[in-house]
Amino acid sequence: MKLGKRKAPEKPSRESGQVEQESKRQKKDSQSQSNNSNKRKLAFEDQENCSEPPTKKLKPMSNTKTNNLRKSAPVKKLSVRPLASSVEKQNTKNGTNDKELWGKIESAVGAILNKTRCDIGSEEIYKSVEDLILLKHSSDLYTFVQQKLESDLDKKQLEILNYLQGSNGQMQLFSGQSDFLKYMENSWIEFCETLNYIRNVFLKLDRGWANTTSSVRPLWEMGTDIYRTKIMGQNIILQRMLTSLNNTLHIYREGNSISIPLVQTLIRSFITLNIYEKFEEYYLNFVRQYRQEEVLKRFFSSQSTFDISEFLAYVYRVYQFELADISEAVLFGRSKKDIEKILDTEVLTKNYECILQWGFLQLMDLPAETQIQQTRMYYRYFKKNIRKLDSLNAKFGEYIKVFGALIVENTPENEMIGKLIEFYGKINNVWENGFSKNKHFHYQIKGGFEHVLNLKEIKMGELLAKFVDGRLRTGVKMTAEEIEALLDKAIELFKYINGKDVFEAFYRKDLAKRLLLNKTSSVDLERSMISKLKEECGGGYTSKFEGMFKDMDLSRDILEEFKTHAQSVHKNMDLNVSVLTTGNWPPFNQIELKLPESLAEYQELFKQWYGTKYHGRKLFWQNSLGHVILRVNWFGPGNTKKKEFILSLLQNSIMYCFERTGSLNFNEIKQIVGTEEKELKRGLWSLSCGKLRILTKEPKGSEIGEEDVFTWNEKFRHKMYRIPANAIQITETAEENDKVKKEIAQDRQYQIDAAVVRVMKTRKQLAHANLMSELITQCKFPLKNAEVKKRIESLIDRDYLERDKKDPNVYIYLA
Amino acid sequence: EWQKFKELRIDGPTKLKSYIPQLSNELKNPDTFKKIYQYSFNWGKNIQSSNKGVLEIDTAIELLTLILGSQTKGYKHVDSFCEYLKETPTVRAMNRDQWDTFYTFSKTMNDKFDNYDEDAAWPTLIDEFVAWKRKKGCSKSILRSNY
Repeated sequence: MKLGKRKAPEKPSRESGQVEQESKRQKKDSQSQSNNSNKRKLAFEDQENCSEPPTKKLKPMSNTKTNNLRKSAPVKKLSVRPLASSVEKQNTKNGTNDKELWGKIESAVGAILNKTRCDIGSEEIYKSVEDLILLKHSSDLYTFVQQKLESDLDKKQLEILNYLQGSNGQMQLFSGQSDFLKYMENSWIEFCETLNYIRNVFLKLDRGWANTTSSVRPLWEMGTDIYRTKIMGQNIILQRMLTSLNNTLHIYREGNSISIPLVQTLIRSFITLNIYEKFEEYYLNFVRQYRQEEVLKRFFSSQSTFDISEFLAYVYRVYQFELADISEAVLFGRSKKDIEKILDTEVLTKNYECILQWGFLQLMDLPAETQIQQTRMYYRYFKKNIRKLDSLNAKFGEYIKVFGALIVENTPENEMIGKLIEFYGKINNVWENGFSKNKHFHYQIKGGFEHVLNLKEIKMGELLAKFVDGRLRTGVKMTAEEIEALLDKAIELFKYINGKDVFEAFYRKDLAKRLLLNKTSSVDLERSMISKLKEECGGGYTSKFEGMFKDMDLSRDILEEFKTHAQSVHKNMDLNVSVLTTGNWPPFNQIELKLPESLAEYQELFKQWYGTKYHGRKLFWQNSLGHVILRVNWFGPGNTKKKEFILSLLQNSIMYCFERTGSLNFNEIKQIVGTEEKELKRGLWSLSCGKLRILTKEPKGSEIGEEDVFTWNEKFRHKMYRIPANAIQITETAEENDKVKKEIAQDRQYQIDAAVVRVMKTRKQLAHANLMSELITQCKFPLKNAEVKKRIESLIDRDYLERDKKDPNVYIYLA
Repeated sequence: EWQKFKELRIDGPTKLKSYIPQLSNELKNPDTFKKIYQYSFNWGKNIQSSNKGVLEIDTAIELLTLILGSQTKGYKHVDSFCEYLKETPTVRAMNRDQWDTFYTFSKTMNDKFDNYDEDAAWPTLIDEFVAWKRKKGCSKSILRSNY
């Protein structure tokens, strides 16, 4: 029974006839589904009761059904025809009925395939399909459709081949691949439409018999299968398609514009036809080949120059293009992973050694603005794409060691620390911002700088101390914050130095000079530095320095007391005394010196007073570090001037010689001043041959000879009133330097001795190698085998230890 | 046995030389020999003109040649060591430890110092001797190769 639902559609505009829009099709689906279920029921019932017209039964059902479906459509008169009877009636006219039906189907399908208008209305066609199905011709119908499609596509195939080959069977080059692709796109779209119509027409078949029969595929699949076999199965066509698609994409790759929708449609068709893998294989091979050659030619051949910035930009572009622009946009992301792997291999991994060897150095040399960003990219590529981060790590470490060593070898001493600080800052910046603070990379920094800063063991501690001294002295043109920052950086380097006792010795010497000659620019900075050192090495390390500061503070208090006491005896005594505790301060140069009377008197006075105040202490005057301010008045024709000179005690004594005499020779001066020759020469030099010529020397020249004669310089001129002339006191002589080094060596010997005795006392008996390893942990400075052996021999000599009679490699402690 | 030295009042190298053959049997006992060797240090100290706790180089050289050189078997490097002592002005004396150790060294060391370990407990004097000898050996071989 046919329910006239189709006559009462739910569309606002009624269209009888051909099925056209998909949405309608969907609605039809919902309708037809309910139709089908009803129909099945009917059919079932028919089979049971063939004789009885089921009209009665049907009516109520159909009515309800119709009512349910027909919501807003106007009421139509239903003509319900009993299905069974009509079929039975027609069973007799089997042949003719069939023929009619088939005829309708044929013409309908033909019209669809030929894209002509079908005279038969769509409902009729649907009905015909239904009828044929009911007449158990489903399989024939199916085959029919199949055959029709096949023949149609056979035709199509010939057309395409013709298009490609031309009438004379030769392959033709037509203008542009895009023409061919458009042609193919057209063919595909048309086919889809056609198949769609057919499917809609034969919907009942598709959802009914074809659905339930397992050996048969749905129409859509069947159709696309045929398309695949007939069209894409033709190798010429397929190959042409592959090359054209690929070439088009390559045109896009080279920067020209293409029709993306066109390519997308065709790719989609490949996906639908399940032949995407064929395209993918072809395409991936092409990309692999192309990129491999390109990268080699541009960057890694013998004619090319490698530039890291260029390379990184290139890599970025390539990845961006291949992955985002093509793979995601055009290929719907299907091949993205594979393409990424290809790029990883061809562009990066195969060449990673060159990228590492050439690129890293260039990267480090880049200017600061671009370096970090590019380092980040570089790091990411090594981490994610090449996956050889430890090679990069090793290279980083190597770079630090090599470059650092170069700095140490080639920089002049006064610049070395500055350059190292700079280098350290740069490396840290690269690590923090470029290498994402990777822990493993930090080990390289540690190892690298430890290596670099101990290449010249003793020198480095000395230079670092000098560097800090330079920044803490007066006359430095930096703000306190700047200096503080610099001190922090110096401490960073300090941490890596193994021989910290060297630093301590030089720092102490320089600190002493700063304190005693009033050359500290800021007490806060000094204290800050000491606290930094304390943090790093502990209180024991800085105890002497702190002692020195205490001494200076105490001295101020003592001086106050002394002055109040001394006022009664001497008026206008302008004396400043610093009392130093011997242990804290470095050993000073002891010189013989005869002071002018007044000064000698002051010294005696203080000494006596101090003796009364502190019993049991002995004072030794350190005349090498004392300084005075001497006021000189010139008298003479047209020559009255006053100047004040800041002089060392030695210089002062020299100057005093000329109070009443104009000119003296070396030996005479020596007699009066009473100091040793070397010191006297230094003093005389500073007064006669340097920047300040307070005395003139005959004969001229910069060497002080024992025959020289010195004369007071009447013509002395200087723009300042108070002239500092005691620079020699603060500059370090070579002898001083040597002294400090000897001091350090001596100190180390004592430490080794003490350590050996300590260890042996505990262990009683120990083999040489074990003793060595114990010492290494105990001593805070690097040990040399030969050095230790000498100390051991000395201890053996002094009967602290002896060798074991049975094994000379073992030492025994002698109580 | 070594007290016999005192008894016999051997106070010069020549006398000792003449006495050695008599003691040759006793000397063949390695323990005895070692003791004699060690004693000779004291003896040498005593006969020196200066009164120090160490053996002056000349005395040392003589004693070494005398005692160790006299044994035909197994004491190597005596001659080259003496040469080293002669040629090195910084070495002015040997102390007891060095003296005693040299005995072991001479007995156990290969011709080419293959089994010598600088990081072991050998006194620095011996370290330096080995280094000196090796250097000499090197330059000799270079000379040889030129011809």
